[in-house]
Amino acid sequence: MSDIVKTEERRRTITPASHVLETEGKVTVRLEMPGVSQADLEIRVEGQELTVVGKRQEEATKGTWLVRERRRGDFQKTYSVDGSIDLEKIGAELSSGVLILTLPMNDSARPRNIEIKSP
Amino acid sequence: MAILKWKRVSYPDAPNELDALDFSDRFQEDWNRLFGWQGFPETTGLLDRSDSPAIDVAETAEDCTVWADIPGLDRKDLQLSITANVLTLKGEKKAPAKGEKDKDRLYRDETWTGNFQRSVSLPNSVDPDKVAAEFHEGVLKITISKKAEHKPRQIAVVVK
Repeated sequence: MSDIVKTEERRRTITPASHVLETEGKVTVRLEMPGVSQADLEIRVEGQELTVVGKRQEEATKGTWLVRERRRGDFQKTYSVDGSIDLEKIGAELSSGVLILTLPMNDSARPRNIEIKSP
Repeated sequence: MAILKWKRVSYPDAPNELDALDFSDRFQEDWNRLFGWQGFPETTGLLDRSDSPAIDVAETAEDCTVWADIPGLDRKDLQLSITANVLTLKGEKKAPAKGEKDKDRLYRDETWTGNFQRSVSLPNSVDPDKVAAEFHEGVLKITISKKAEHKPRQIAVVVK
């Protein structure tokens, strides 16, 4: 019986609120991750998957909670990226709790005009 | 089969009555697991949409601390004021640069932007003259000390 009662230790993950915008030649992904420092942020590309994990340091609080609305847990989001994104040139910037990922598109994926040559 | 008390799994320190969001989180998770959805509702959750920052308030014998998640806020756009024991957060969370050209495409926007105002009633014992605020990584933390007469005091007992 004791093994049923044992307390499960697991960290909950939250999907960060996102803002995804495609502008000329690049896609900008903004992920809101308040409370995550640069050291606790991990961005990795595996195959066609781009994963962002942001660990949040829990503040040790003494006393009693009067209001508790902020969500607990770590941030995690996985995007699948296809060949139109240049995985080598992904840029990341963290500013006041928002991670800004810049995903440049491959030249082949950009729209371009084809010139018609006159004979 | 013994009747077991439900254990608080992740956060044993959380008081139950303030746990509505925690519960909704877990409900969604269980639901996902039941149907084998891997993080299926890709948004941040049905109950999550609000146009004001989420806050936490904790009280100790010495002070009161307020946390607010306001990612992407410029410190200049935030005004804090305190009157007696009511703390007011006011500000504007600016929208990120919009796509201006016709070719630009916005795929997803789950963030909230705009003006917000929130007032928090704190215990009467706080001292409105002793407030410290810091904004770091999108989290605003305000610490308000309590009035000296409300702080616990050690009373020395002299043995004669």
